Amino acid sequence: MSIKVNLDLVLVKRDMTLTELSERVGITISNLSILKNNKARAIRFSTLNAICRELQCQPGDILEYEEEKEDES
Amino acid sequence: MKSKSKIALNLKRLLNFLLFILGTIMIAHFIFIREGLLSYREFLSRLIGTGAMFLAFFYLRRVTLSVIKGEPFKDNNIKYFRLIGYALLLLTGAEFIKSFRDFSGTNIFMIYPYFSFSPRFFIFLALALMAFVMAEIFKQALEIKKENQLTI
Repeated sequence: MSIKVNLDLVLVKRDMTLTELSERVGITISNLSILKNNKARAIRFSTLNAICRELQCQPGDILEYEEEKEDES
Repeated sequence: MKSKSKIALNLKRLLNFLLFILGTIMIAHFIFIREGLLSYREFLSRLIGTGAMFLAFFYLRRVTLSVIKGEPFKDNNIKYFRLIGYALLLLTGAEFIKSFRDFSGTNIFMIYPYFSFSPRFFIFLALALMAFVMAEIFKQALEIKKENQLTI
């Protein structure tokens, strides 16, 4: 996937656990884990808004575009 | 999300009744052939017909049960609809073999003296195609459901 989620890095910077964030934004830990582990297919603006509000960051701090590597044969 | 829909519950009851009737008919065929009331060919054709119909209703019942449970979009239901389609295709084939040389006048589509199709042939074919379409619809619905589950 070319969009990488850096939620774990931002959590470390803010010294916050996933459980704490889940309580603050009202999203289950399992769903936040899906997001953190880059398993999510899409993210709602409302979710992004809540995470940015609680982590005091910008969407760009959480999401990062990564060039997809092409297999050389 | 368990459905309390009366239609689904009544459909389950109706399918239970139909399965009981078809099961009884299938057992009766075995008794008839044992008693010598049916020829071997008649026994086989009736058993295939009743068996295919039994399977179609059996899998439709399984789909209905999942609807009652509130989980209709599952991999199994896609498989069940395909199996219903195959069972109905078997009936369509049997009906075609039975009626394509029948020019008695009950068949709605015929080109005398080459071939003819009975109304039942078209009904079974339409139902088989509908079952395959339903399988595809459920497949797409399952993909949308998975996509939705992974939208955070």
